[in-house]
Amino acid sequence: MLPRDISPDEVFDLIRSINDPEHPLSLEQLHITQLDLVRVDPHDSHVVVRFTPTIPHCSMATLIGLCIRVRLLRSLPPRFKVDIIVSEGSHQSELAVNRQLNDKERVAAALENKHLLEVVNQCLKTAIHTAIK
Amino acid sequence: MLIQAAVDRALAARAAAAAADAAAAAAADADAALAEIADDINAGRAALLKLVECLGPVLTHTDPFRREAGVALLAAVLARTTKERISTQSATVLAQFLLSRLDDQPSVEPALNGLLAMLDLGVLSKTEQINIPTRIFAELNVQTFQQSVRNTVFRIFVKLFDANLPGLQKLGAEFVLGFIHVMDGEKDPRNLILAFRLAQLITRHLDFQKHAEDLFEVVFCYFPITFRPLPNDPFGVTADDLRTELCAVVSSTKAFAPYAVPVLLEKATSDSASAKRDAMEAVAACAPVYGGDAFLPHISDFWTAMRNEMINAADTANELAALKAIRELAKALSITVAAPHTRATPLESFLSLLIQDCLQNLADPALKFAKPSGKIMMSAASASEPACSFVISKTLPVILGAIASDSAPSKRKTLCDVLGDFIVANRLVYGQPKPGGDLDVNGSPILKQRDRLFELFVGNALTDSYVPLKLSSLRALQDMLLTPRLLRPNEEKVVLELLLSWLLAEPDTNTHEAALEAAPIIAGAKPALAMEVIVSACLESLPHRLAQQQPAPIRGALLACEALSKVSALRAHIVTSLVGVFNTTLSLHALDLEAAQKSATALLDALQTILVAAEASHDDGPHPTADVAALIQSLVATTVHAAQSRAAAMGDSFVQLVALNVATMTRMLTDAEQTSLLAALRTMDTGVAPVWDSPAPVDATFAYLFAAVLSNSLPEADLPIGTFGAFADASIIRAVESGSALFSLATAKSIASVVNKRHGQQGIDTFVEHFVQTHLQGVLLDKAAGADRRRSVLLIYSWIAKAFAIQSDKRGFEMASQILALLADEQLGAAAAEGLGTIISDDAHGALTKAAHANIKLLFKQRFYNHCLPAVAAGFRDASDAQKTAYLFALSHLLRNVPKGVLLNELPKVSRAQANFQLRYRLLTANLAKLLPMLLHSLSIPEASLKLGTLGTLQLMVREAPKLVAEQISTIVPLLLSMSMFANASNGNDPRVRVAALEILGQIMLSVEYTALHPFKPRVTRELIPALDDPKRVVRKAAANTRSIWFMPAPTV
Repeated sequence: MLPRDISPDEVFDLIRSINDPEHPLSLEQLHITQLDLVRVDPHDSHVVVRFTPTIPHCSMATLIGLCIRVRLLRSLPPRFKVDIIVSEGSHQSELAVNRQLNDKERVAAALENKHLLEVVNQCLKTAIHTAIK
Repeated sequence: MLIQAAVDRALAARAAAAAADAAAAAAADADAALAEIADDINAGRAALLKLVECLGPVLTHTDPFRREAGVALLAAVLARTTKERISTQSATVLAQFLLSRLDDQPSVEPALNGLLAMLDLGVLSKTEQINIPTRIFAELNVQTFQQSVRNTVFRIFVKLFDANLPGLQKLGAEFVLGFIHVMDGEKDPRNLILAFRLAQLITRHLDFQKHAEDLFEVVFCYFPITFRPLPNDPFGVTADDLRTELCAVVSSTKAFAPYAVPVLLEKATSDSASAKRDAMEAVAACAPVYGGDAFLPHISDFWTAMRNEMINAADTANELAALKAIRELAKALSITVAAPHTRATPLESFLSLLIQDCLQNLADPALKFAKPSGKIMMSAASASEPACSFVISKTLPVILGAIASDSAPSKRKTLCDVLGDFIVANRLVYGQPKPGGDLDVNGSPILKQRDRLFELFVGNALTDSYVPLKLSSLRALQDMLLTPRLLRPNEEKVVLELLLSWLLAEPDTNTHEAALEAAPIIAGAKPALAMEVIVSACLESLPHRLAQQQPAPIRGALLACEALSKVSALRAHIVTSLVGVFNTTLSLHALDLEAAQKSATALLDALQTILVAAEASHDDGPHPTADVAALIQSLVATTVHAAQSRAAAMGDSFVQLVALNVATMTRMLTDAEQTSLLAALRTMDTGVAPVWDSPAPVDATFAYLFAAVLSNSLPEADLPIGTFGAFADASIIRAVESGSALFSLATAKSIASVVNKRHGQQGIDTFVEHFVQTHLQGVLLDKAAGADRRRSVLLIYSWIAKAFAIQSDKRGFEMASQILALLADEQLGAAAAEGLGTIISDDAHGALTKAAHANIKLLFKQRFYNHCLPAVAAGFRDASDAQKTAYLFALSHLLRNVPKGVLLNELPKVSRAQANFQLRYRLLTANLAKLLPMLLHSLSIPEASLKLGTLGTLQLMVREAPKLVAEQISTIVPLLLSMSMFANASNGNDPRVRVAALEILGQIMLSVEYTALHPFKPRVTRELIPALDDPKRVVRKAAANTRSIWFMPAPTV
């Protein structure tokens, strides 16, 4: 088997251009996601993505995390275990948000919600390249 | 009484046009009658007043629509009459009549049209002209009429400005007031453009002071423009047009300042990003007109607004607008006189505000807003000399102090960037020669701190370990060097030496890349010094690096040479030296051939890059000083000598690389130079073995390089080949006997080039006739002739066919038909496909291309494609499975090289004539439908190059003919899915194929109707999972993207 070197850089590339639910700017532009905050352990197939909400009481934190979660669900091989957490100390209800984002059942339930899925897809639109050479 | 009849006819037809079914015919009749009347009047057969007389009963009719029809007829005739036919007297009568009709509501529009026509003709006296606006103001409430009427009114006003400005000036305030009423409430964009222009004319020419505020209000209420054009933009007016005109009105006079400044401030602090941008653009435009004192009372509020914009800029356009506004304000304030009782000048008080905030930001440990602060100060400083001097002298010591005291390298880097901005601002203000004067650098604030800055940057660049800081310092040094008279000669040398040390360091590092970027800029500014310090050192380092045979240092030095050769003054020297190094490398016996070729290949690649860039740039002749012909000769001599004197064969690809350089250089010569070069090559002596045995070359390497020169020469160049027939025949025999592919290709190109360009040679047609007869029958169609022999002949045959085909000679197409027939030949099928590829593609070495001065007819590729396609398609249908591949390869070559437009509009003549989109689409679809089965078949053949070509065509079809793809979707989707799997990589699905397949799969979701795709959605999203784990990153990226597209809700992404 050839080496499969999925790097933090590659994971970051997948999520950098997701749009913020509230602003017409990408998560990278708002410094919500940063390359330094992505960890990949290729041997254990484990990815940890930290993100920093713009303000500690940001009500969109869960939604942003969900967008990242969905984007990676669709774009990373299923052998990876993905943890998505808010950067330590950057949000008031850090624990609750983390628990919600990493609970498979709750993520699945959230995506059953048509309206929510629509919002998520809207944010993910910008991460897709539609131009073809 | 002719005219009476025509009038009756026109009126009757008009009435019919309004009422009856045959509206179009009646309108045409009305038009014809109208033309008749106008002709009569213009020819002097009837008088205008006669027409009025005839119209009399209609004009005074009790039915308003009859009256309107009468006036309309009169106006239409007026618009077609020439000036000479309207006497002053009748003009007065007509004008009075038309003006009097303005109180008759239905007749207003035609009356205005008539007046405009008379204005255009220039038949009205000054008094009558001025009566028009007065009357309009008195009689009409313009805004209650439809758009066309309002438009005519504005056009009449514009015309009046043109025709009778003194009259309008006399009217003065009355006209201004009237105009304000006319314009008030206007909503149509076309009219607004006119109204804004009129407002500008008013502020420029009329006395409007009494109504300045009203005029401003009536214009400014449209600010900011939020207009969005209708789909298809039927009016041809964009929001930007309106914005520009509106801004021009607001900034047209200082009299608006008291009203404009407060509202601009209000808009600049609003919530809408576009309003803020418009406001700041308006501030930038108004500042020079209003003067600094108008803004002075609100200056701190403006500053706050602009600072917020810089710090939280929504997009770069807003940021740029803010910077421009800052600059313009600083410029306006620079020439504002201080009020007597204040201590600071207006400029200083503005800049102090700005500096205070910026320095505060720079003192912040996180330095979040340092970059915008730097840009703000740079903009302000570049406004004027006092601004530059004030900003830099106030802030420079503080920043230098902060750099000295701070240990965090990232912070020092940010501060260095700000200093770099200052140097640029300083150069903008002091670096430009004054009109009629010399540079005035003495007042430059940077000059005073030069030594300190220079020391700081050099120190950082040399010794600091934090790379971004080094890069920022080099940039600053570069800007210092570009500032005239800032650095002393020895300091300039230090900068160049620094650059050199980076250039010679490891490639692929940030410093090396930064040095490559800076090298052409710095060397371009100081070519003499660069030659002395950098160029020679780079070139001298090459032989040593080549001897060590490590690829990275060699590449580093060659990249440096490429970067420096962008400066035209240095190019000749670099090219000459590189050829010299190549010659030494290849003739060094100490190196084994393989290593020598490797180094030489690197040199040739670099040389090619430089030559191509030179060919593309066209600056003052590619080689002002170098003797290109001598360089070519030495390249050829060295290569041939090396090939002859070694036992191991020199790779064909290496010779081709040499030939590529030789070809590019040959194209730089004149025909006389080419003639003597060819003659010199012909008699060349390598001292090992002869290269030419009359009448043709005997050495394959030499023959190929000779062909490169020959095929890139101008048709006017003389060829030293004696009799063409003898040369060609001998060449063919030697090439075929030698069995060398290179020799055959050389022969093919030489002969084809002469056949196409002639070069004044005799006997070409006889030779071709003879060649076709003997070789076609004797070799190509004779299966017993031997595969190699047949292939060599086919190659030459294809090139000669190409030479004819590109100039639309029918012999070329006949020969191509023979090649098409050979596709079914099991020995030659693949070679025949290649042959067709040769004919339709462009040669990389220039043979038979436009650049090599070949005789090429327009649309050759399209014609050739149309010639071959039916034969290929028919042949494919009848072919056995073993033969099919050759047809598919031929198709792939055809599709890949034919212009895409041709593929889509194969029948453009029909479509243009019929102008029928539906028909065109059907033709297009029918054309592609023919191809589709073949295309899909070729996707299942395990050949990467074949697949890539086909996928390119499929992609085009997905985009342009999605309906057709939808019909075959159940075949296409599984095919693409299987091609995108790494597990199937051994079936010719290399990474490029996998990426292309995935991209098309994504494109299908975007272009093809969703209902056809819905059944495949679960399958595609599921089966793409393995592709997410492909060993190649590019494939993973494409897979992730395509899978995301398929997850999106239908039908748009």
